[in-house]
Formats: sequence, structure tokens, C-alpha cells
Amino acid sequence: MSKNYSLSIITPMGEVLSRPVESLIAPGQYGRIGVMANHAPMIVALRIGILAVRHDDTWSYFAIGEGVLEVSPDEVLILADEAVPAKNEQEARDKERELVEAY
Amino acid sequence: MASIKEYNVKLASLKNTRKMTKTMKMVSASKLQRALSAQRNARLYATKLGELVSRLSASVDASSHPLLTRHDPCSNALVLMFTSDKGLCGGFNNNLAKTTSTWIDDNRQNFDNIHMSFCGRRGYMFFKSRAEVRTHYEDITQRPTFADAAHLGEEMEKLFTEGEYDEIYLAYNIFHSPLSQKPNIEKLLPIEPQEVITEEETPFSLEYIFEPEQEELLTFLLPRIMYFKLYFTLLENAAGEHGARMTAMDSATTNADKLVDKYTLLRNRARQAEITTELTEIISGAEAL
Repeated sequence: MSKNYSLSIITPMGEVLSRPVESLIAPGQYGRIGVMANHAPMIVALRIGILAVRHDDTWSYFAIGEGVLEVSPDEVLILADEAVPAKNEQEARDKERELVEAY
Repeated sequence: MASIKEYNVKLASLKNTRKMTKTMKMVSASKLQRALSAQRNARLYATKLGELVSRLSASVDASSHPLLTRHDPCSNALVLMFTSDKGLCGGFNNNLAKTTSTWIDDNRQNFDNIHMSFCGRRGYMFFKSRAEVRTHYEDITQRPTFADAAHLGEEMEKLFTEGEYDEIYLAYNIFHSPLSQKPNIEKLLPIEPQEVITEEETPFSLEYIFEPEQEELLTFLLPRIMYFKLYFTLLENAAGEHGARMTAMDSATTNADKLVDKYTLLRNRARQAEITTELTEIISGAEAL
């Protein structure tokens, strides 16, 4: 069991997620980026893609639009144009395609 | 005096109108709530994005960014006007149109050309024969989405950075309450540096990792502030439209109520008159026998 940290995903439509999580994998502009607890502080630009979040030993998926990921010492913040929750990876991929078309 | 039948027809149509205006009022009230809650949700994003950008600009010089650079000479201006697509919302669109044309007349000597673009059909209809129209963006005021705002923003960015326009203004109604919306014209581009850079922000400490570099990140984030402003304007316009329609339909319902009362009275009077006439006829008929 790894350590948890708090994650918020905020879009112009509102707060999509705010909860403690174990880790996440985000689509950085130069490749996918994994963040676990106690990560060094950083700011990364995100492109449209799939964000995977791990909590309570399960993965949940979001299709997210362009945005930015900020890891600060006490929390992780994702600001994205959109973040659409999906039930599984396949659904996330479909929604990602919709986002690519919309933007 | 009109007959009972005529009064009944009039009354039926009045009651139908009242039903319609009442329904429209209720529909607008619920749409207004939706627009207001969208605005509430949007504020958080704006705060966080603003913080991030001003912290970034504390360590990198942002003033050289193309979106913040003033054009000199300043000869072409574009006014992007936000109105509703539909009418029946009181003076909502008309007040804005009047304010905008006064503004254009006042500023004509400052620019060589003032062109206009529109979001929303009403503004376009008003100005299409009075001003030089650049683009009419259709179908984006009804349901404001961030994707639409981003597209619009990209286009504005392009028009500005490629030098086609030197200043871009927004004309829209500020939503104070369902009873009052205030026409407003403000500058969208170039972005005023004090809007994004607040002096007291602390720059990021050295151990931060940036990907890409800070300058590039800022270039990526600054347009988002503008997209967000457009999105918020779209929401403001939607809230204003529904608020104005709600108020207009409320007074229409009150007026219809008054008319229904008046015509019910007239109809009853006519019916009583008819009864009296009939009675008189019967009685005088009976007396004759």
C-alpha cells in the first residue's frame, strides 16, 4: 500500500475530482508522466489524452483536454480544458477521440 | 357592444397567451439557474489559472508575449458583440446595440477602420446594414461550451497576432440581477499586463521542474486566460438573456392577467345585458297575452 496524496482536477465547467489518490499517469506534451506521492514539485503542460488515476487499488480513467499539471509539496492540481470521466480505458479512448474532434 | 361570443374568443386567446408567457418565464428561470451555476463553477478555474500565470510571470518576463504587445500605429479595431439568438427578452439586445453604436461613433477618430463580429443573431441583424461585418459566429450563444470559446479565442488570437486587427473589443451585457443587465464594452486584446501579472506573487522556488521551459509554459497558458474570458462572457450573455427574458415574460404575464380580468368583466356584463333583454322580451310578451 503506497502513500496517498490529494489530487484536484479543475476545468472551466467546475471541479471534476478532488480526493486522495495513490498515483496518476497523465499525458504530458512530451510523453506520459507518472506522479506518485512525494514527487518533486513540477509544472507540466498536458495535451489531449487519457489520464489514469489510481486509488484504493483500482484505476479510473478520464479523457482530458489540453491543460497543465502542477505538483506542489502538499497537493497535485490539474487544470484542463475538459475532463470527462470514463468507466474503462476503452471508453476513455472513445471520449478522447470526441475531444480531439471538438478542439 | 360586442357579443358574448366575441368576448369568449378574445378571452380564450388571452388565456393562451398568458399560458405561453408563463411557461416561457419558468423555462427562462431554470435556464438562468443553469447559467449561474456554470458561472460559479467556472470561477475556481479562473482563480487557479490566474495564480499559476502570475507566479510564472514573476520569474519570466511576460511583457514581450505577442498577446500583451501593443500595436503601433493602432489603425484597425474589431468589436466582438455578444447577444442572444432569440428575441422576447425586453431591451436586452437593443440597449447593447445602442451602447455599441454610440461607442463606435465616439471612437471612430481613433481608428482607421472599425469592424464587427457577432456571436448571436440579434446583434448581427441590427448591425448587418449599419456596420462592416467580419464574421457572424452562429449557434454558440445558446449553449456556451469551453470548446466553442477556445475556437473563438484561437481565431481572435490569429487576427491579432497576424496584425489584421490592432485592438479587439468585447461588447456584452454584464449580468447584475434578472432585473438589470448593464451593456459593457471592454478590451480583449492586447491583454493589459496588470491583468495577468500581480506584483506580490512569489515566483516558483528553484527546485521546481518545468516541462516545457517557463517561457513556453507561459506562451501555452496566456491564451487560455483569453479563452476563459470569452467563455465567461458567453456565460454572462446567457445569464443576462435568460434573466431579461424572465423579467419580460413576467410583466407580460401580469399584463395578460389584467386583460383577462378586464375582458371577463366585459363578457359578464354583456351576458347580463342579454339575459335582461330576454327577460324583458318574455315579460312583455306575456303581458301582451
